[in-house]
Amino acid sequence: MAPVRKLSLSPHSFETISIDQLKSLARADLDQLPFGVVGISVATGNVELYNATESRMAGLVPEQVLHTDFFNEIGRCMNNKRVAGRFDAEPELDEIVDYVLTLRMKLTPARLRLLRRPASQLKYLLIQR
Amino acid sequence: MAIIESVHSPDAGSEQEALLRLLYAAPVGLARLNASGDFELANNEFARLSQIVFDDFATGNFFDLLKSLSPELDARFQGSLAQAEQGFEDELIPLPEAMDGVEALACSLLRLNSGDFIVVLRDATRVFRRECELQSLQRA
Repeated sequence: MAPVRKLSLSPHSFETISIDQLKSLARADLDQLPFGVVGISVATGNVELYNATESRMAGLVPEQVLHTDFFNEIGRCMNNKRVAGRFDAEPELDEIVDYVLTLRMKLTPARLRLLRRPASQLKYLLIQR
Repeated sequence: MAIIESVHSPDAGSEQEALLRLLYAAPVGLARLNASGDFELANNEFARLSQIVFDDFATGNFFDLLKSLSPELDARFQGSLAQAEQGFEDELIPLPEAMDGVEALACSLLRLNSGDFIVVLRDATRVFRRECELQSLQRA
């Protein structure tokens, strides 16, 4: 009989996880989330947090992404009013947006959750493909 | 140094990666369509611009999107296809209203021998404004 493999299901969902929960998660738990998490500095626009799920799904290693200007270098396709502009305009934001990303030149439908609150140093982009 | 570089030339994988990065970073929108106009490939700028301009970009057919944006250009395009022409180059498409600072697009469409198409889309706001200024000067 094959050994029973224990599944490590995250209790956090794309729709409900909060900024506080994102902040309090251990790095390993953040990497286990079933959706991509990108933490972008409010002050600089640079990527300061990039979880393993997003790295795997986007095909980019964290070294390529961390400390780069996210909307100008990595997520250029989101550099418009629907995504980057929302973060700029709204200090408090929690919204899910249907979007089409480019993944290795293939158009890929995705859901984006834009999370920001006034006191937080990072704004969070959650990506569910 | 040049000899060493030629001996240790990058492998095909890293060349492809460099090419992808170039396409991602290109400041113009590039897409490849099949003969029906469905998207096969598109770069970041194409997705960025399209999601400013088209409400239903996710539907995935460029000819439908073009028709919704500029029925005149679409009619001309269909005519050129009927005459087996290759497409059009740098056609200015003024938008009904400014969207996210974009007032006009320039669109080129080239038909390949395979029947597929290459589309180039760019923000032509500055060109459009200059044209408007010239026209108003000529009228004055």
